[in-house]
Amino acid sequence: MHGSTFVPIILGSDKTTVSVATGQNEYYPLYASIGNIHNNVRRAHRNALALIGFLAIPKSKPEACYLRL
Amino acid sequence: MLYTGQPCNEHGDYLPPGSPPTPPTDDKPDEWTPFHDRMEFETGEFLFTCNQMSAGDINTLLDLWAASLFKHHDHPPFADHDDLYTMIDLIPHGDVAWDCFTTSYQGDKPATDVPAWMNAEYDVWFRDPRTVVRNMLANPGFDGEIDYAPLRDFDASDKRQFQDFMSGDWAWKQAVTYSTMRYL
Repeated sequence: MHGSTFVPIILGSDKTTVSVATGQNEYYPLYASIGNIHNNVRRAHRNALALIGFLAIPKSKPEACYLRL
Repeated sequence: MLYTGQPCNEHGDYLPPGSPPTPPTDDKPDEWTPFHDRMEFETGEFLFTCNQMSAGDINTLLDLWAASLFKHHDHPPFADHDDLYTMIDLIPHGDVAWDCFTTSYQGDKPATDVPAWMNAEYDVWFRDPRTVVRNMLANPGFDGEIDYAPLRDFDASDKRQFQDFMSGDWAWKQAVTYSTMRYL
């Protein structure tokens, strides 16, 4: 196949709690990298792992988890 | 061979071995886009990056600047801090721009006591992943540290070597399938 290459996209998210003056905020940053980049570079080079989003996290009380449909 | 990772041009024609990549297009030395000239750019860089002046102080300074130029029928590089910030946001270089959309729960809801989160709207901030990935592939800082094709590496005693992502079984299976075997 001419003129193409395989670019595996790696996504990761981890909850991050950010304390600011108004209280605690939780963010779920979404990171992306590509499998073509060697592991040692991904660890060392800040541009090999890019922040691409913040996920929306609905908040609910535990009892609200039981849906009465 | 298939998916050899051999460099080619945009038409898929293989390049001669050892061909250097197309150099990134250098901006012209007199190119200050979106700023109109060097004076505007350097004023913006000083106020925003070096001095990190507050919006109110920027307005005061630009008002004084405008007053001093009034008799010459001229005007300062920016009208106010909004004008400066707008110009900075128009800079095409740098990281991929952030975008935002609003989303909400679309599933079934209980007849009564609808939990607040089911009615709430949520902002999702994101950057175009395709552009982010393209920038990674184009980054000359990764030269020599990228695999352009899945590979299976064996040492002298024929023992499989796993090193980076593209040396693994998953990557190999994604690229070397029955549908791609047609091209062999």
